[in-house]
Amino acid sequence: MEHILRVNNLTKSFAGKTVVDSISFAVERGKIMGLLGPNGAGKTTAIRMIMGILSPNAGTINFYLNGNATTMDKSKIGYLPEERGLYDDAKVLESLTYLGELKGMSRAKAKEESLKWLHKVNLSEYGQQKLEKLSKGMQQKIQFIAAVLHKPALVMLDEPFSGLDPINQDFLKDTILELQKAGITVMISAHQMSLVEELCDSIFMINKGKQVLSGDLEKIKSDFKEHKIAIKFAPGEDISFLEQLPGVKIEEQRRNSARLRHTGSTLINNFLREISDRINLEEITVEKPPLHDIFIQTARERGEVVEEHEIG
Amino acid sequence: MKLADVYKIARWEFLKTLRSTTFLVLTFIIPLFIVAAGGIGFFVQMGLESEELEVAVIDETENFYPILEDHLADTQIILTDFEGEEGELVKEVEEGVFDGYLRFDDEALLQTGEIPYYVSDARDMNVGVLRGAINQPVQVYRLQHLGLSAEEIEKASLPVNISARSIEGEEPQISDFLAPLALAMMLLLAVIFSGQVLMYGVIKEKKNRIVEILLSSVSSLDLMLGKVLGYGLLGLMQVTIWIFVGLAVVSFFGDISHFVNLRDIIPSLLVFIFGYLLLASLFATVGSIMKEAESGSQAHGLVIMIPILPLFISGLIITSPNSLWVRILSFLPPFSPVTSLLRIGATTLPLWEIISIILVLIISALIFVKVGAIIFEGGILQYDRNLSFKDVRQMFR
Repeated sequence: MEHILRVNNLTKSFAGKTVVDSISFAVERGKIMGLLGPNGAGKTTAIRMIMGILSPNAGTINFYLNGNATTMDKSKIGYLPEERGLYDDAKVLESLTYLGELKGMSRAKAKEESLKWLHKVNLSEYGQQKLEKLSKGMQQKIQFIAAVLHKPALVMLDEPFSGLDPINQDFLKDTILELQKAGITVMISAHQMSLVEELCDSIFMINKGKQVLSGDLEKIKSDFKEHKIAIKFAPGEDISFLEQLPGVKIEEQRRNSARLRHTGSTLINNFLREISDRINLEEITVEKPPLHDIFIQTARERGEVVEEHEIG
Repeated sequence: MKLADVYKIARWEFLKTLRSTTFLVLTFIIPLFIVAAGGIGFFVQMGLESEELEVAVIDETENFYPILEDHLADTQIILTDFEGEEGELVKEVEEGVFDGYLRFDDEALLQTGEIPYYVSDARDMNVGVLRGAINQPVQVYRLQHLGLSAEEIEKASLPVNISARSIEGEEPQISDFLAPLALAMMLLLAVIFSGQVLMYGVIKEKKNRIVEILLSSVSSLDLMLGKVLGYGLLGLMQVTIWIFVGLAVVSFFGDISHFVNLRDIIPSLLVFIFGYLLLASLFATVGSIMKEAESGSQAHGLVIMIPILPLFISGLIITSPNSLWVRILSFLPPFSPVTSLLRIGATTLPLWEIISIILVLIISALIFVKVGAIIFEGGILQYDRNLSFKDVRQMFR
């Protein structure tokens, strides 16, 4: 397992308030990592420290762009800041070419790649327009191009989905997966956990500056001993016995259907066997709860306050 | 510092601003003003010189009129010895037959020296021309009354002229003052215009957040340096255009050699170039502290006063260019460019002084750029307010 970025005990306070509290994580080369948490959790501050825009009060940040620990080679990193901004009075293609050049590309190459990307995101005809003439969503795409144009080894996307409509969100997801296929390591920060859940290989969850959960996404899910179960059965079946089973909670019950939650140490297989033995099942689905639920539950178990409305 | 990055930034800023309407308007409107000012001045002068002044004279002395007529024979003043009633003359002046009339009597000529000139519109009178023309005949008349012979009078009224020259024998020319003074004025004009564009550019980048992307690609020092050089080049190009238009206007209306003194031109240009870079970096630094254009424009107004200050005392600098305090002023970075340009015009600066002034300009420009870069980098997230002194102090810790 080769890391491209390693962060150790990173801490930042503003005016005595600790915004990022001794967080540590590593990003594996070629993988997509999600930095997840509600708004105000400290994600952007952490990313700004990694990008060298803010200096941490404590902790270390190491890049392994060539296999060895190096100082940040700005030309190998792409960055989409949370607060978007480009030259609104300059032509789109010129701005992109310039930003590509600043990342060490030749002028011709930067222009060529900009044109390719504009074509890819269906904005070819806007290359000669000034940015201010484009819609918000279009500007967001242009900004995304600016972050990945130079084929960086690592790209940091801070809230890339905010401000995009569902169609463009899907488009962006596909594009991020393509970047991964091309060998680019991606770090995404987001508060809409459902959006990035299917993208990430690993996650780092943060709440009020502190680490909540981190590691391989599949492992986190399988370690989380809870299942959501939906059943359909023949009308008139008595399912009241379910509540007597250890770790089972009926969340919703209708005439011929119910939604349950199964937690605890008894194996889910045993539970499923029991239920199929005792009632006439027409349909059953079992799934792991979404990241959103895992996050809230884990944070609460640790006695932390979670601002639920700040999580998408 | 990566020179390649500095070049890319300078090039981008240069081309982006070059294509902006404001820049094009300023670059080509200012020369129009120069042409207009030069032209109007020239034609007004021509008009004044060629205008004839018809003046009637009431001579109550014995023999002043012949002396006066003799002295004014070759001028634009046409005299008429009027012998009628004064009331009649008033009427003729009102009707425009004469531009005005003068009355001479012995009391006025020999004692008070107050000679009344009557015109229909006292505000329109060309008294300067008359005063110059009448002075000498009055002197001659007075000397005659003292009983001097014509020959003695001629000797007594020989004009006096101090002609200053350097020890090498050179005579100072009007051009010595004009070129550096003109450069000082242009320096200020260029700084006022492009310094402002530069400062707003810095504020804008902070405000529209592009700065985060820029600093994820290049260092803040390279960014500032690139900007200052880009705008520096623009300002110099602008001024070059103005200079050429100015010279064209001068050569059309007069002798260009009165304007250009080759000995001073190289030090003047060097001081100009590095002075410009110094002041441009000063503006970039101010821009990095400001939150938005509104407060920026007030700060610009204040900052622009600093380099202009020596111009307010330009008379003193030109008359005593080597006094201690003027020398000190020419080594104090923000005052240095204009003071030095004025001094170059007013005196011959020794080589060591020119070199050390230019060194001061270069070093202080670099310091300003560095300070601006630190503030810019430290202040990029403070886009919601102006930086306080405390913020800035913390950045340097």
